[in-house]
Amino acid sequence: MKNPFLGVSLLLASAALPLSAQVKFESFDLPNGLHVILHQDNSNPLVAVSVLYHVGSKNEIPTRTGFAHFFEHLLFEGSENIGRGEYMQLIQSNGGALNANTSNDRTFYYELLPSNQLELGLWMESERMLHAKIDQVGVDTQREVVKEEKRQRVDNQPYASFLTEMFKRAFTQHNYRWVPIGSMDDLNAATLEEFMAFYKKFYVPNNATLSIAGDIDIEDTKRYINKYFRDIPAGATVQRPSAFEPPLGGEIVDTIYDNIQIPAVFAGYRMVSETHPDAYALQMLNTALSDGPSSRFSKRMVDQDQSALQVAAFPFAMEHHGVFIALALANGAASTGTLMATMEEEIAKMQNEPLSDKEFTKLLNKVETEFVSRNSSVAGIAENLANYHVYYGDANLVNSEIERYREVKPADIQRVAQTYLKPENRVVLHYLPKSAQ
Amino acid sequence: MNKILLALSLVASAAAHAQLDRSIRPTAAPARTPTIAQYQKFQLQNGLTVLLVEDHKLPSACSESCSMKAPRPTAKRLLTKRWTLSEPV
Repeated sequence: MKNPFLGVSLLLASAALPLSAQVKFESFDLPNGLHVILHQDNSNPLVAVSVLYHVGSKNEIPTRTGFAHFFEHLLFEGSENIGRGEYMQLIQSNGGALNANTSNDRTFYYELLPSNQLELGLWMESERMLHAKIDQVGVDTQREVVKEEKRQRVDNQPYASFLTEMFKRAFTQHNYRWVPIGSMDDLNAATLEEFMAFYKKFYVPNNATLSIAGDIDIEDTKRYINKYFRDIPAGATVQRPSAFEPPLGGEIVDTIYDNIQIPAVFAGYRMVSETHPDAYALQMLNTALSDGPSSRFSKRMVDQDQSALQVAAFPFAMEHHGVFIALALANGAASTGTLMATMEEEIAKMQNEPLSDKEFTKLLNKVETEFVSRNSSVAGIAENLANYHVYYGDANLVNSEIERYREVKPADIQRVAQTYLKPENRVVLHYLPKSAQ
Repeated sequence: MNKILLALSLVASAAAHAQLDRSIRPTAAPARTPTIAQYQKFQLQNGLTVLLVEDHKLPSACSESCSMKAPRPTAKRLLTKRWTLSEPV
């Protein structure tokens, strides 16, 4: 053997390899403030075109809630050069797909297109940004669409009011006290002028990130971006809402009577924002408690005690604050009080006993798999790049954020369980059938 | 003469700064032929046919029925879903 160390050095090299191929991207700002991120991946002739407007329900005023989500709908009504209904028709008849979504912090539009239709997608997004059609016909149409969406997805869904009920108790000052669907009374009362003002204020290049990923030629793409976006005038500087919210200051417990048959309990613990260093340990704590059939809640409540039909938890992390939500649906005669007490017991174990190496490794494996799979499509990459830029100020976290999870130690998970998952920091909602009222 | 030059240069500069005619819809560029996958095919001694596709984009591997994208738990997806125009398929 010429080099006895070759085998060893190869092993070392493979252990030091990055988790996956780096997502390469370039970014720049147009003079009007539009931030642009481009990622080239020519594997498949597909392109994802997305625009993230940094406006969500937290940018609304208390008497006009639901505006950002309403705009998610309204800005499909057409533009000066795109007729009513044509947004969908143009994209779909050209082999593409499109959608949009709204959160507490953003409104996000995207098209997935055959890559030879990139210019079409850019033209359409620029039309939306420059001169979307905001008129009484469109407002009246979309108001009914949004009302129907609320009836279908909130009013007619068991438990679906829980976010509204949770957030209005978990927050007293911050605009997170209402949720994106907002109030239908506010939408009814809003005038056309108010909608136009909201558009001019927030759906402007200096409040937007254009993120494109897929089968593109960088120079051609820049040329199209200049052609369609450069002349869109910047809006006024966007005023951001205050992040202030005092601590909860004591446990809040309430009962909601809903159109349900199976009682459930929802516990929401106030926690930090998604960009806070503790967010990573909280995510791993959540994985330990609730991710998969081998998680602690599931093993205890579904398998062993058989008190719950289903148990789940997720850290609902937003730009300014977060709520760690744990929930359980009762099995048989189990009461919601019992479910809450059992979840508390499992939380207490997390607080008082250190994690074993084996369980900690499992958490890290799960987190790594989840992280890697987020970049499995060009659509996912475009969205992740935009989110990391807007919320974290660093699009390269698309590659490097996993290191922040790897810095988390078992003791950190124990610490965040102690710090955040305590009774005085939570809202507990007991969901009971209306017949029990 | 100067006037003519001035007029010419005005025409030229107007052309250079011509407003984009936004009513003109972009047309499709030539379509690319997709290469779905390069694969190897071989048989084991026991007759089992193996199809192998190399793709090093993600550090994951899977056999026939699995998806490269890890599914998220359904309850979590339902509960954290953001408001969308239509139900995601």
